Amino acid sequence: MTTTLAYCGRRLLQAVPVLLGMSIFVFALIHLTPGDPVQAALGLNYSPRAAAVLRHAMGLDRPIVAQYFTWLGGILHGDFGRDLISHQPLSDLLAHTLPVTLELTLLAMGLAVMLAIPLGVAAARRPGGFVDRTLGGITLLGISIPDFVLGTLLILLFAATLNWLPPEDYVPFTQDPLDNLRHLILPVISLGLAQVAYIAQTTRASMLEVLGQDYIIYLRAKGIRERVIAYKHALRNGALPVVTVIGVQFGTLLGGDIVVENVFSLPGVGKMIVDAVSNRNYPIVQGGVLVIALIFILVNLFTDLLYLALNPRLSTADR
Amino acid sequence: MAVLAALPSTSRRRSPRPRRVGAWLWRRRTLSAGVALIALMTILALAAPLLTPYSYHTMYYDAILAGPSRQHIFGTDGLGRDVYTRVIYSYQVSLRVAAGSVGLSLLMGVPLGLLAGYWGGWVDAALMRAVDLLLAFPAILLAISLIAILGQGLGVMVVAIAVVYVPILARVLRGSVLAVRNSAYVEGARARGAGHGRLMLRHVLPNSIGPTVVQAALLMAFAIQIEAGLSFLGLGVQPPTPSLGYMLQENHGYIDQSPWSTLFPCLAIALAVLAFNLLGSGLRDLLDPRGSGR
Repeated sequence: MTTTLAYCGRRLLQAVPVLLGMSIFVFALIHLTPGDPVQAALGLNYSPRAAAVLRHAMGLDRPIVAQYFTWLGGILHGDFGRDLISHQPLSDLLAHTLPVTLELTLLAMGLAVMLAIPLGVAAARRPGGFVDRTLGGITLLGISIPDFVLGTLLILLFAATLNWLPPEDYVPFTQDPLDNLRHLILPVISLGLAQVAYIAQTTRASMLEVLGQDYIIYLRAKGIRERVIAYKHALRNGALPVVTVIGVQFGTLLGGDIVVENVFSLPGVGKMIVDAVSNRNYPIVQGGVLVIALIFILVNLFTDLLYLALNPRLSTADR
Repeated sequence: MAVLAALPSTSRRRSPRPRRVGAWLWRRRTLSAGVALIALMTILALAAPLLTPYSYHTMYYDAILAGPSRQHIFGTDGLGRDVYTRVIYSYQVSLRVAAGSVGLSLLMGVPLGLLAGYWGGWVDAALMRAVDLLLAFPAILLAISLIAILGQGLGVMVVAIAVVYVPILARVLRGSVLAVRNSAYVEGARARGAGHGRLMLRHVLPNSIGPTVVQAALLMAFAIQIEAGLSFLGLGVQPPTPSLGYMLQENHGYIDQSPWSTLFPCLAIALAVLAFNLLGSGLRDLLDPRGSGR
């Protein structure tokens, strides 16, 4: 138990430099961007006097290191800065955009995992069989068609041609749960397909390795049913690589979100960031990038801890 | 990347007359198909002016949103421009970004990975921390951030994607350098008095570069996706230069009226990504000693 706690502690400590480095990068983002934020904020009301006042008010006349710590302190208190155009606090914007992004990501990942694991297990039980070859086809499609291209093709087929589903826009879950899901079907499929391929292939490879081991032969000799062997014994022992790939793919999914939200006009963090880049609304870019990177780091941390829960040997083997 | 193992791989059976070129190519058909598709795209891109009577920006007002016909084999877009012409010119951008970004990242990543793996110590520690940091961002988000700083354009996109790739390539090479660093033949060369430079370049690098080459090919496939994605978002190359991703964006509004101006760029992107994935997967079969055919 103490070694487990020590492992968790060590892993948490490892996240600290990454978090700090990430925050410095994101902070630098706004200071490296061309143009003067004071000038941008004042727009037509620009005068040297007003600029000096605002510069002081925004704290931009202070040393850069002091500015960094003020900014970091603000973040820790939930102050992510303000929209340059609407002057809305970013935390308000995030309250609207983040749920959209999270819903999309979690639904896509949930769907992918639910499809991929049975598919991978079935493919591993009969290599070269029908399921295995179908999976090969899905994989080829999944890796060749980028998510936003798949999204466009799905709109083309299901929205523009067949008129079965709405092409874009978003209805909040609280307003109409069913309509909300109906609008998310196509985005979720376009994000999820590639993930089905990655997760199922990893499951298949891991299962093939486990199924070849002696204790599986022993279980078969004991007369345990194949399905029970596959799901209860083999899958549990082959779960580590699957968990890893889900963690890694979560990051890909967050990246994919950014583009797919723009394909389907979903008002998530990704669309917010892209709109802000076009409008040179740098505090929004900064805050959005920070939030996505933060989620990503937390997911990686969580994956590693889950890893430990699945394989307690790690805490002692790892020094 | 384990996914690619599932692609149709080269046959393990011994061909009766292995010296024949055809048999050699057939045994490595994943690689052959990838190389052939890339060659085709390169020819289309380079010879674009010879392969189409149209220019990519001329608008034909009498043929707006036309379907495929003998005049316009892929149809025309919402401004009456020939979609086939725009697709093959777009391959110039796709291929330049793929080759440029991966080339640039190899140029930086290979020395870094080699040094980190060979020397270990603080070089290694510093590199790995930088890698951890860069990998804390989804690739496209990092590219968007860099574009926000540096502005837009083809060169910026190449640099932005290269920055994302350097740590990935450096880490792959570092791993394989670690695996051969203490092998008998390196020790032997060292015992014969080879210096560090000679050891690294003549003995370690050639024996450890394989996985990095495979990874580089796969990253070219991702570079094409990222380029198309960024251009779709309007953050890539600027009009009038045609780009596959931007074509999807431009024609998004016409999707109800004419599917063709969207369908063909979609297929063109998928083909390009597939080609480089086949190349990477084929190279893996060729270079991996456990793999087939040798």
